[in-house]
Amino acid sequence: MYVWDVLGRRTEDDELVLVGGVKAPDAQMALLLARETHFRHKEGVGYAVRRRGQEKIHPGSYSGDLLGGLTDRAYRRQQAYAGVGAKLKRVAERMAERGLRIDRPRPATSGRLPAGKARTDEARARAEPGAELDPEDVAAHGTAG
Amino acid sequence: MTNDPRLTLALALADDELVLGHRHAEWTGWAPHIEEDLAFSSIAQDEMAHARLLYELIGRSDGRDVDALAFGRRPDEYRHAVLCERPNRDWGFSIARQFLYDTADAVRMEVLAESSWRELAELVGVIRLEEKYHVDHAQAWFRRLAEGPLEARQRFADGLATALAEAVAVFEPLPEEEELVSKGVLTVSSEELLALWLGQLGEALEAVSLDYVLEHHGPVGGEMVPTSTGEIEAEREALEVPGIVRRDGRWMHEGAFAGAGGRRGKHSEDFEPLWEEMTTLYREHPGATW
Amino acid sequence: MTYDEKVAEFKGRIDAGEKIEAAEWMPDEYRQAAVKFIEMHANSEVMGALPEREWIPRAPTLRRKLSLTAKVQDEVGHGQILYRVAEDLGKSREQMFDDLVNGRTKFHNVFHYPTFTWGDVAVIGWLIDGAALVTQKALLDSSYAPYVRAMKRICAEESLHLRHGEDITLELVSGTEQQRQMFQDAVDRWWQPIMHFYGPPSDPAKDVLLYWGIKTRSNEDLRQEFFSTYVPKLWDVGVSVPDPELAFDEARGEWIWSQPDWDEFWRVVRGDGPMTAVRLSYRKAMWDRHAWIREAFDAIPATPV
Repeated sequence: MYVWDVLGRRTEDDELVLVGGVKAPDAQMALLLARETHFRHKEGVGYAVRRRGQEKIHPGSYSGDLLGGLTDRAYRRQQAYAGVGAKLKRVAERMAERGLRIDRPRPATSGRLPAGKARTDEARARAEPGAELDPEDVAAHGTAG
Repeated sequence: MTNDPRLTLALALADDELVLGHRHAEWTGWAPHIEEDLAFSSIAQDEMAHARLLYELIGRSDGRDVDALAFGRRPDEYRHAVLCERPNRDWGFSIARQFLYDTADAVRMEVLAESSWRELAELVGVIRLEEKYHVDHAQAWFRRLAEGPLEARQRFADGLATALAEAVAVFEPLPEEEELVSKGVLTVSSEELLALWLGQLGEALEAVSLDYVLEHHGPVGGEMVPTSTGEIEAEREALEVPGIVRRDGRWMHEGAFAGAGGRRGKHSEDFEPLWEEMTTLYREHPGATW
Repeated sequence: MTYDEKVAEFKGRIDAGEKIEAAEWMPDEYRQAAVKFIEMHANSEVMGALPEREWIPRAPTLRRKLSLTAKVQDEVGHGQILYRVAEDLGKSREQMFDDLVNGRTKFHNVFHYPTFTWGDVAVIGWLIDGAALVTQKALLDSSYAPYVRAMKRICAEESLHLRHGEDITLELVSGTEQQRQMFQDAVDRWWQPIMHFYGPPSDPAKDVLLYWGIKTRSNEDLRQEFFSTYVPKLWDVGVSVPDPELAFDEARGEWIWSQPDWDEFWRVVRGDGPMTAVRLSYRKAMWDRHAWIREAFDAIPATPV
């Protein structure tokens, strides 16, 4: 089993660039897998793999439209959900009309608050290199899921 | 149900894809190799997406929407091959099933692309281009397992043996087959397609000395239950299964189909639980949008 | 240069905003902290797939069945990306999986809880993915460059998941009375794990991750942003949260909220969540019984095709 660098070509005019890596036993399997690990969202029109530490480039056999699927993949794409913000507004308006809106104190804008940023700046200033992190410490830091 | 035999054909194809896609999708999140998890999930999504296209085709004729077709029918109204409804068991079975189904599907699709039913032929033309990856995927695993270490080869062979009898029944003809052939909707009979597929399959298996699975089929059915000791429950008996024989140097099908009935709405004990799981939420809230 | 001098110079570079690449020299403490953090992040992605994948077979429409499959596929993909990053820092993926399924390493608390209804799918897809996105956007400033590149792709995909989750939610809250109740029930059940999401107020003396710039924002900062982004929207669609204190305090410029049960938090961190043992045992069974595939892959020489 080896690590294979995955290379992708964004458009026909682009060069192959490094986009990630896969683990696979051989080049053909690496290509088979890379097609779906790195190109299923229409990230490019061509791809290749190269075994870590070697020079030889193995090009993939699928290209163009076929990469990322030919039939309707709207369920995987941003544009299928483009209207969601507007939908939220409409639903909110209907709820308000029905008297279901909950009227509790909220900030004027959403997003990061100045007070939050202040807390981070203070925490960073006081941060110290500790002893080796144990898994519970890492867990307590609430890493993203 | 419908009287137009063409719609029944489309339904059988759609149901094959939906039910098998449903089973394939059950590997998403815990397949044996993380990159393979992604690849197999794409294959699952392709199957379900193809089912959707076929339901849309049917719906244009009979007015039902895609979800009513996919989730709103009784179990005996589904026309998929029994192979598709079997639980995933282990990777050896699932990958063997993917290999058998997608090579069979490729044979079927090649012929349907010439159908006199133009709308279906056009749809199949596009679907085939996506299905090529499925065959490439299956063949890549086939080689690596069949030519792999002893345990890999054995587990793959067991999977093939278990799936094979019911894979043959993918070619079980619809009751309406005669009319479909006479009208050129099917340009080749199911029996001929089966012969074609068996020929290819026989060659592929002989090349890796696994052709013995064509003669010694295993039992079908049975749940895989993950246990902390890692034991899989599997009974292994060599059964004499009718259907596949070797004559004049060629593998052929003769007589009845094992696991037949799918094309007539007759399914195994594994379909009802699948159907319940797949359709309950839809059926419990008629008219709701999600 | 002595080790300590090299460390001091390295710290200086990080504080100045420089990014570190995989091939560069780094202090052992930095490397270890980065591996552990990224490994846990990867573990969380693959364990997070487990509650959601239960609903693929049960999705109520074909469109949602497809979109949920794609979403779970993306979570697995995030795991794949992150394990690659961690592996390049020096710990093999096989070792990471083995440690995960045998309970030696951890995954995010929020994925130790059961799902009961399609309402849970909406809550996970919108509120929990929303909570995760706040954290993940902050990681775009991380000092470790390969992690930043991974996060760029992950954030882009998570933004899609978020809209998807919001879309599912909006259908429920604007649907039948049963659907509205389904969503409200799910919010009531998930609120405590959501309150646990950013961890307890952090102790700066233990904030090794902040020190090295691997993490760039405090827990409380992130939690506040989550409230500001999602609570007004919940209230707008008539959905309450089961915390009578939760409200924005204009004078202090921040949200006030009731402390959740931190004992429960630590129990789950220690591996005693409602679904911890079950989910790990499924993963372990899958891992152990498919050793023959790893063996087959290892036996294949990488000859060109």
